[in-house]
Amino acid sequence: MDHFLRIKPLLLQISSCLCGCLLMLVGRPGFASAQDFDHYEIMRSQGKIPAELLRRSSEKYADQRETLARAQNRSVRRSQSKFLLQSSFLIDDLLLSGKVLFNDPVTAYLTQVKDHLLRDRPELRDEVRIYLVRSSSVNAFATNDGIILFNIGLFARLESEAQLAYILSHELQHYIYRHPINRFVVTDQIVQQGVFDRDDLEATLLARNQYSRELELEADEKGLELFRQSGYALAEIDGIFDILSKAHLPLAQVPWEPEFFARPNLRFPATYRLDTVAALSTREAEDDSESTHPNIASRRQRVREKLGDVLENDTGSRFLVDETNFARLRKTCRYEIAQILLEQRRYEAAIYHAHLLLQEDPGSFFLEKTVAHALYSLARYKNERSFYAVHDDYENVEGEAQRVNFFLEQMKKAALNVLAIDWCWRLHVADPGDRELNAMCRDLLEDFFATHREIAESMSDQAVPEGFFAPWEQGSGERLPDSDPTETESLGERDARDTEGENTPEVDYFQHAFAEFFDNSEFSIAYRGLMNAEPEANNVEYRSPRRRRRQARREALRGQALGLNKVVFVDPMFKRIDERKEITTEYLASERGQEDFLGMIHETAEAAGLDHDILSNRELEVTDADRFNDLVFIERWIAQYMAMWDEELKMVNLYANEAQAIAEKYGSDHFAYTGMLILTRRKKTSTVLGLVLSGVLIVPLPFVLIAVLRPRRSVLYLNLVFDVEQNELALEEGRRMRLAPRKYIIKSNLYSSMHQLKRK
Amino acid sequence: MKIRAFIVIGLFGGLFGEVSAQSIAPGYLGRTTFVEYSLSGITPFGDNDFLSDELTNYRGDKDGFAGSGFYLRARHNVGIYRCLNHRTAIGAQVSAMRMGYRSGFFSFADNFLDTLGQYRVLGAGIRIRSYYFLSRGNIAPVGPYTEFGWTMYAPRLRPRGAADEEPVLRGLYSSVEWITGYQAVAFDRFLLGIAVELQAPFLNRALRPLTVSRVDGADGELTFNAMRRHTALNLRLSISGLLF
Repeated sequence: MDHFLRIKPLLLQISSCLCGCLLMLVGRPGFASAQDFDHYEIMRSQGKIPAELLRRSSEKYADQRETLARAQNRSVRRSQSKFLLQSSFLIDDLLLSGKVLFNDPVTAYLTQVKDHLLRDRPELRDEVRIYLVRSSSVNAFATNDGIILFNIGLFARLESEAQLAYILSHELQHYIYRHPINRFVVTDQIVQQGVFDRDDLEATLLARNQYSRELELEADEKGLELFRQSGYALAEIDGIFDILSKAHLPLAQVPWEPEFFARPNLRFPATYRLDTVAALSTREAEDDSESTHPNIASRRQRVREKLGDVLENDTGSRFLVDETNFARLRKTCRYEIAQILLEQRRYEAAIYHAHLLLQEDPGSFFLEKTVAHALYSLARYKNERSFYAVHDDYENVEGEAQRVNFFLEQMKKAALNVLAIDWCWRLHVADPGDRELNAMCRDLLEDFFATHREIAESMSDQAVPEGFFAPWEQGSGERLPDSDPTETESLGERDARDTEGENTPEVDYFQHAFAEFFDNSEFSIAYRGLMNAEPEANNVEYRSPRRRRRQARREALRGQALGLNKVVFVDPMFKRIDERKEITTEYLASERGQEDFLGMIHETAEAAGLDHDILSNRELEVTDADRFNDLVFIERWIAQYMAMWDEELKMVNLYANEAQAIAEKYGSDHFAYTGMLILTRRKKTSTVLGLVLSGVLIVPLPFVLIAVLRPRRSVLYLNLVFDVEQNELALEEGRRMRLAPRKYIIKSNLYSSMHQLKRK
Repeated sequence: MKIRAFIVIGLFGGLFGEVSAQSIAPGYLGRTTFVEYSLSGITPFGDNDFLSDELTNYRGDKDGFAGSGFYLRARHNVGIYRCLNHRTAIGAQVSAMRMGYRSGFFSFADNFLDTLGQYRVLGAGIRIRSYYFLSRGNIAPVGPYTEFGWTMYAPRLRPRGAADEEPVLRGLYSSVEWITGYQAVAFDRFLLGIAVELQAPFLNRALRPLTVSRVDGADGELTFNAMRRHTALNLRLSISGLLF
């Protein structure tokens, strides 16, 4: 599902990266008014879908192969062909993964700056295309066929348009000098050579990295030449290297205190406050011998040497295209990162990031909702004793952000539950129509009664008496023991250890947290309703997660009857993998197979009388940007759902509102993620042994020959049907068959799914 | 026998009931019922007489001892099956087989010159076919399968040239069969199959003892034993039509 993670290693190989710069202080002039971002909406692709996104990867591969020079020797041609095959498909995978945006304001701005840089080279200007990648990592890279992919995480940290222009200049050199393919071919040749000279493997890898670093330095230098002709301020370049050296840190260092969460009826013990924070580190002069990129110090030094005295007389500008737009778009990227951090389940980082942005936009509903999502998730994980699955130890964090992690680590689970209710309910009151907030409040209240009933019943509806918080604020209260994991302890056991003996009802600092809410009739009714409800009988037989999963699988095999009228299939997947080959993914066969697979979905759905729709990039037209966005958001909903799959937590999805809107548009709450994987594996050692044995004993020879000649194939079929309204997995089907992937086998599986979906 | 029949039917019946109550049968594109014609090729185990070619021009009827027609020495089966769920199908099957019978060796003949009479067997039985037992994951009625069956056979032996007369040998025997094979789909309407069949016939004296006839040497038990050897291991080819 996460295409980007899967292809990242190769993309790193075939691409080149750059970036860098000191963070602009939050609150700098040029930001658009806060009003625009109060109800920020996540960026979407717009306009017409670029034709290159809809073109078959196989066609692009064929075109690029035509351009290969004939004079090269066979080994080089082979490496080039290998590169083109993989890059054509993997880059298309990324372009269509939903992580890449097109025709959005940031991409348009990036294109304007690129056009300015290449104003004297019209052919090149038209050749190069730019896309924005929805990734928080500080990176940009160029592909062999002229695409520059620019990460949101990099844009969010830039200080000026000049820095952006230099980064683009650098990436353009990678394209102009064909660095991606050259790097691949040379490293492929080096590795092949190294395979024969195994004794010198380490030297081989070092040689490969050395070549890669040389290309980076070349792009820096050639990029500088282009940049100098552009009219931008040369002095801005140095800042890029600052950005790179601090890329692992948050956007800025703004003091954070537990008062961030404080309210008249809720304040926190002094023991939750971290007195000193860890010093910030930089990655300026790290050992780069094993890296594909030179270290930042040497790049900075090289550029400074090249610039020499020119800097003193430089009259270039920090902005040439649009300064106001730059500030607004950078802020957009920063808002986008808040959402990305939530997607990555980096909840503490999301809280700190929102804190930074709230300095400029106090009261932004979007940012407060980001915090609500983070608190809700952390509270749910903590209640389910899975907190450490999503928590970063404060000792692993640097700077002010460390205080957030420490604070949340110190909080007992009941207290965190109360804090989350407090924050979410306040927002719910501000926007009662927000379904996500409604659901989060309901979940948190139910969880509070289910997990901490006695504490819940003892919560006060009276305002805080004067001096109530004094004992805690003066430092009394016990700091939780160091919760570092022991060597033999699992994360779950660590959670259990942290929460031992918590459920004792005693007067605690959060006793009056809900006092103001009890005046709200909705809260009061909901709370008292839960208080008067009978506690859920806890006589259900305990079953381990593994056992529960096994039972679910068994039930799925028996079949279900969902009685649906319509289902939307989300980007059905068809892949062929042959482990025996050097390039294990059979790209061309997979592409052909996927087209057939879509046809079979239509055929079997019609045979079952099931109304259906397929949201697939393979069936989009140029004017289908809306459908493209629908596909992206549903895939994000599914990715979020599956991220919580391991912990078996049913939580409000980050994209619940978007998914429900899409469900209404398509007339179905049910979205199916269907896929087929044809796997051909290497022969087992036992097969070879059998062959040897049959040399001695003739009788088993025919059977062994069949085993040797017949490919070791498996067909893996997966069909997950999600109900976005109920936020649940309605159908889970998974089969592994040791069969040849005949059409009737595929159709048989598909029909089985359709039958279960349709049958009442 | 009543007890035995009760156990067999009860066991099968109970199994079907349980499975059908729990599951949904998707079939192939919605077709869960199919009619199957299959041919179980008789293998040359037993007497030396059977080490000849599978195909013979001997038809074994009263006029056909010297016939030149093409005759496949095999058992013909026609069955109807219904898929109960993803994994299981049940069915009923009737079978018919005929061949020459030679007295001197108490066995069946390839060579019409030695033929004494015509041996005919009619059978009917029930089957349960699992598409899960050997290969998990495929969906009935497609892919590898394993089948268990119980068939009641009624053999008749009529002397040469006296087909209208009373059989000289008759009786009943039942057989337990185990089949494993593979079914593929053709044109979304037909199933083509290939399988190996093992049969274990046992004599049901309690049902109806064999009648030893006036034909010299036509000993019922020896004939049965020859038959048992003869049908122990078969190759089975099938074609089915997916009905609904």
